[in-house]
Amino acid sequence: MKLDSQCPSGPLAEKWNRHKFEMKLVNPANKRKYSVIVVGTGLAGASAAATMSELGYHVKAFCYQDSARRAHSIAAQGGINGAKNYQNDGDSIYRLFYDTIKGGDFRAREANVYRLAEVSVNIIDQCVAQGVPFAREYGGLLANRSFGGAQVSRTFYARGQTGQQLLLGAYSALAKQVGAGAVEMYTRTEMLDLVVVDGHAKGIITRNLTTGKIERHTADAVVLATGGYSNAFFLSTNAIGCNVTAAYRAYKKGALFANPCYTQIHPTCIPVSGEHQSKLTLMSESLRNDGRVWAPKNPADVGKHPDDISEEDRDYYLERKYPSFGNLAPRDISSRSAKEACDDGRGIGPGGRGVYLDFRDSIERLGEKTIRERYGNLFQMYHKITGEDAYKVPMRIYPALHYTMGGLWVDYNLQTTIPGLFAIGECNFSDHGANRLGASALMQGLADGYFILPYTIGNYLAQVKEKPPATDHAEFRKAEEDVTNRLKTLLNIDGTKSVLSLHKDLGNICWEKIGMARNRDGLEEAIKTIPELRERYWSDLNVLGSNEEFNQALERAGRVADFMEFGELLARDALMREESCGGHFREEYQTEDGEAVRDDDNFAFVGAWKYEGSNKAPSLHKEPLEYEEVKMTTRSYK
Amino acid sequence: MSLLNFFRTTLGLKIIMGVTGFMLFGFVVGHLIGNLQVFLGAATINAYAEFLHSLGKGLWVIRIGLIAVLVTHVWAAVTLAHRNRAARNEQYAENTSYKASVASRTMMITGSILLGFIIFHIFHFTVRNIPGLEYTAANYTEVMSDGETRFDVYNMMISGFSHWWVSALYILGMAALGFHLSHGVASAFRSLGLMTAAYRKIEEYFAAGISSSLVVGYSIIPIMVLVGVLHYERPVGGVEHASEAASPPSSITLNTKEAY
Amino acid sequence: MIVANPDIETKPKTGSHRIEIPLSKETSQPDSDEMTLHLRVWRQPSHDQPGEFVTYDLPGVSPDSSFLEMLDLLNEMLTNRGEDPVAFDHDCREGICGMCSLTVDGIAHGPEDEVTICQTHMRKYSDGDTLTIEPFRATAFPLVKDLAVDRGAFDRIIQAGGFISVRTGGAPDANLIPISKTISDMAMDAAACIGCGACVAACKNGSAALFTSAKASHLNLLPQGEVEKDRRVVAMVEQMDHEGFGSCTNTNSCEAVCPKGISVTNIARMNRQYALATLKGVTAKATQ
Ligand SMILES: Cc1cc2nc3c(=O)[nH]c(=O)nc-3n(C[C@H](O)[C@H](O)[C@H](O)COP(=O)(O)OP(=O)(O)OC[C@H]3O[C@@H](n4cnc5c(N)ncnc54)[C@H](O)[C@@H]3O)c2cc1C
Ligand code: HEM
Ligand code: HEM
Ligand code: SF4
Ligand code: F3S
Ligand code: FES
Repeated sequence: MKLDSQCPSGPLAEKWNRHKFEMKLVNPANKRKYSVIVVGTGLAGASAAATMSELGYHVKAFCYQDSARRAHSIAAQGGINGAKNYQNDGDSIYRLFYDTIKGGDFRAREANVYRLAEVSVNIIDQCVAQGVPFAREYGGLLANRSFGGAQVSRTFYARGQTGQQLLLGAYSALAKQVGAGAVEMYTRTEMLDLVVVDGHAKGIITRNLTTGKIERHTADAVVLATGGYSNAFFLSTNAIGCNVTAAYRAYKKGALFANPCYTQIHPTCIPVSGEHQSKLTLMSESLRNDGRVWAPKNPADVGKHPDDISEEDRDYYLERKYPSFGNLAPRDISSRSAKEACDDGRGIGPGGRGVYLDFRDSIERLGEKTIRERYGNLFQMYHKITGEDAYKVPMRIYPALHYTMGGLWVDYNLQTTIPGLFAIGECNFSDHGANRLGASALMQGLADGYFILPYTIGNYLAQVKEKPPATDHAEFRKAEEDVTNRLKTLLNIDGTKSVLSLHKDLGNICWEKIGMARNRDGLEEAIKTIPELRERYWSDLNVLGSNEEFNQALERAGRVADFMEFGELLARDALMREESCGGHFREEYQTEDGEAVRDDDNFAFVGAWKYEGSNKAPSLHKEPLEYEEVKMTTRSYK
Repeated sequence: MSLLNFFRTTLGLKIIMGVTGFMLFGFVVGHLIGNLQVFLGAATINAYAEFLHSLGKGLWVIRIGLIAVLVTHVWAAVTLAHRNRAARNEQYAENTSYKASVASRTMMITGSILLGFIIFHIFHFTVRNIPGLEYTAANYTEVMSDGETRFDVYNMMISGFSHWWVSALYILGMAALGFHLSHGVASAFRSLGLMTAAYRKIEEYFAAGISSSLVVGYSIIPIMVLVGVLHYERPVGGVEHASEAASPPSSITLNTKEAY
Repeated sequence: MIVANPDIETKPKTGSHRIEIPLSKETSQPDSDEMTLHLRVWRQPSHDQPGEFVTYDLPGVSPDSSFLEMLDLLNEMLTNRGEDPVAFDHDCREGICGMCSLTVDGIAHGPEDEVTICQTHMRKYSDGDTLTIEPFRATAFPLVKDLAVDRGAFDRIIQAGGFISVRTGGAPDANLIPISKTISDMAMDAAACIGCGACVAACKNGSAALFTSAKASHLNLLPQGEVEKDRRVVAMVEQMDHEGFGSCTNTNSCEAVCPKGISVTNIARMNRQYALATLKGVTAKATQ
């Protein structure tokens, strides 16, 4: 299959404008005749649904939570990038573009990234107009901070609740349209399958999570904005409900899944405290500005109280290995170093999975008051969760799964390989390459939803001539049957293991074999053990109750069932990619001192997987990455 | 008609409660100042009462106004209470109204006690026809030096509070008032939107301060009568101590010599 | 409370993989502080069926687990026994999505102030404690199942007016209107509301005044929201009433349980703005 990115020709900076001009438009009077389904109401979905309905399309929006405002975008803390150059520190669209490409380890599509940087400016304007209370300076103008390795201050933030405020903005725009009757909102409704008619996406099958009712929804186009798949690893910073189901169902219906192995691990999370752990909590990376990361030099010291470990017996490994960046080394590098220390048997805390983030020296230097002012809320949160006082005892941190760069393959129009099926936000693979920069996911979600998809979908719809199929079309009937049967099967296995316990088992395999550092043996093992586990899943699962009720175990069972298949795809992709780049680190491909070795000659492509049937291996399709504007270089943080 | 919304929506009704509550509060403060004149002697308070009665039609306007305000206040309270109960038709097993003050949770109770008190009080001191507690002009008239006469409010109060149970009823009413207003005054500021973060504490202290002052100010009258500090100014015919006056003795007429 | 792991052995660096992270019983060390709790849990199959308290004894609760992880444990136990697990809403489990919603011993979001129940940890409790766990109770929040309720009424309040009517595109430059830091901070304080509904659950009147006022205040404080201020507050209040929430008698329980510390002075602001708008003759339908 040839993957055509549909990137417009011409100079990078003019591509988007030119494309906007060349795209077909839907006559305003005709727009209301078109209907669009939007699955997901995170930043991407809510902004897209609101904007498309403002344009006149009839929109149906879906989310599995009880309110659109609860999508996981709400949890983002740090901020959102925008190339406003309000700080006059030399930022520009081009610089944001370049930083994103480089941060993505040269595995993203140039034209998409440039467009992202271009519209980032409009996002900030839009959000402020909606009433997003970004932080301000005393003069009344917007404040910025620097974030995630960037050398300019271009991150806009609203205390530690940026994602929440942005989502409330998008949600309020959506609410306005719902109130006006222009959007039909379905909460507590989960998409369980995609309906493809004559090769085009024409609808979805959903389950009402309160009543269990299975419903068919038809439309002229379907947009997936269903977020990322970090929960394949069981423990992640994502919400419990985050899932790959919608994207995976689309994949099974023919959409290609790109770069699943690009997963991001965040270095400063609160470590696992025991088997009860259900998720991990992120703590802002800003802590690394004043905290020093260390692990005991000697495994014998791990049980000791940190105060009893003398200065010589501490290994400030980031400072040692990366003298110029030290504790501020990028996410992937610091995560991996922590894992190495723990693999050496030098990890501290429960299960030996943790390293110290120590504020002793900064407290001595700056005083406790200053530290309290800077990080008071984070220390408090840490205290709430661990019961420890980080002013006295060093914090314990450990990396955790946080974000997934891979996703459904989309072209420049954000359309998947199924015509009429679009993917936006974290759900697609488009803009972050092999690694995402801090504060760029929020930007991408809103760029897609407010400023890109509403145009590009018009180009598709303008070519749709027939009305959407009726819901009694054979494809709908078939898809509904499949969904119902699957639910029945899950309920009838009548085994002995809970969904939770089997999800943990899957998480274990993924984290150990496809986690921070991967190697051929481990990946091959995962490709062997995941299907075995899946076998166990379908034979020994215990889901109680019925479909016709609010049944949370059943909801989760369906999601985990998809992770059970998806995990294998993740492993396959990681095995295929014989290089180390961004969030994908293969132990075989590293320098002597443990630096990633990228292979641009053989792997400068997007790896997109096509589903070939339940007992067959998926096929790989490559979209070569051609760089017209930037030159690929090696990332170095020494 | 948007103004009708004040009588319809929960916020509108709250605003009405706040406005009427403040009016009633204003009356209670003014009334206390009037009543405290009892400490300045019979002449002063009787003159004050005479002045009020001299308003004639004006007095009736004020009375009708007050009744209207009270009725509106109570109507709004009952209407809202009804809605509020409907809004929470199931209760928790325990520990409801986390950290809510007692006064705020008992507004309906203190309000009802108040209402009962007010009715009793009006029959007691304004209509003056409670059996055993009648204060007729025949018995309670002060004759002044110029020969003019006026109703003797002073002696009525002394006589009234001479019964310990009447005083007790009054003090109970005052306690209800204090509770009601300790929450009510601050609440009214908020219902009317007159509370900001900066003023919140001040207003809450004000409410607590003024309501306890009211309780003390009002209660002191019956207490002083009971302990004998306030007593008949012109003791007559064997009735030395107010406390002994079980019912208004006819001998008091002697006290107001030239009644006939 | 730093716990050492005596099982750790040194392993060579490359290619080393500990197979297990401490997720399964075998590898995690026995926790000496494990507690047994007595739970009185409200069980109700659905809105139209009666509910009751059912008592469970739950052993093996780690003090380091969160409240919801304790419920996970309960559900594992129930599932293994073949009993219907307890339904409860949750998603982010980090105190921001507002999905978790239950009361412990009559207090919405449990005993800790300014913390959601998902962020409450079991070290608050001791071995042998009895906990009464109930759903958020309010007529406007019809029960879905067990501890889960339907808070759609909040969405409809927002739909009535909790937005600024700007279309996408055409917004002026973000720095065109300077906003004083004080105002912007006040707006942010109000905007921090996570829409959890604890305020309604705690209020003896089932009033949504704190939520509605937080939402209205956030927008009404900002110059961007100024234009629609009057209609917004009237429309949101009308909807609030329409949903069957009670009135605010200023008892402050809402503020006490609010996980985001939203201040009741927002209610005062809403009342003021409502009064002024009504005096000006604004109704919910006046403009649209
Ligand atoms: C803790 C944390 C902190 C972060 N901090 C930052 C940051 O500071 N800056 C930054 O830029 N990025 C940050 N990120 C990343 C960023 O928040 C996400 O990538 C982004 O918000 C994803 O938005 P989205 O709209 O694509 O998906 P989501 O917000 O995840 O929304 C997914 C939506 O899809 C719906 N859905 C999913 N599956 C189904 C289904 N099967 N049926 C129906 N509906 C479904 C859900 O209900 C939801 O509405 C952070 C992420 C985490 C986890
Ligand atoms: C006669 C019977 C009365 C009843 C049943 C009654 C009842 C109530 C109730 C239920 C409230 C609302 C509770 C609240 O807002 O927290 C209230 C508020 C109030 N009441 Fe009364 N009350 C009565 C009499 C009075 C009197 C006599 C006064 C004044 C002396 C008064 C002053 C107030 C004030 C100031 C408020 C606060 C209004 C507000 O919050 O907006 N009330 N009353
Ligand atoms: C110690 C306490 C009080 C004393 C001694 C007292 C005394 C009096 C007297 C003497 C009168 C009659 C006035 C006249 O007709 O000339 C009166 C009337 C009245 N009082 Fe009080 N009062 C007390 C407390 C209260 C309180 C707490 C309230 C209200 C909550 C109240 C409300 C009224 C009202 C409504 C009238 C009728 C006014 C009118 O229309 O004439 N009083 N009071
Ligand atoms: S005001 Fe507080 S308690 Fe109420 S919904 Fe908002 S965050 Fe929850
Ligand atoms: S608890 Fe209820 S009474 Fe008002 S102050 Fe809060 S809404
Ligand atoms: S689960 Fe999200 S706030 Fe508690």
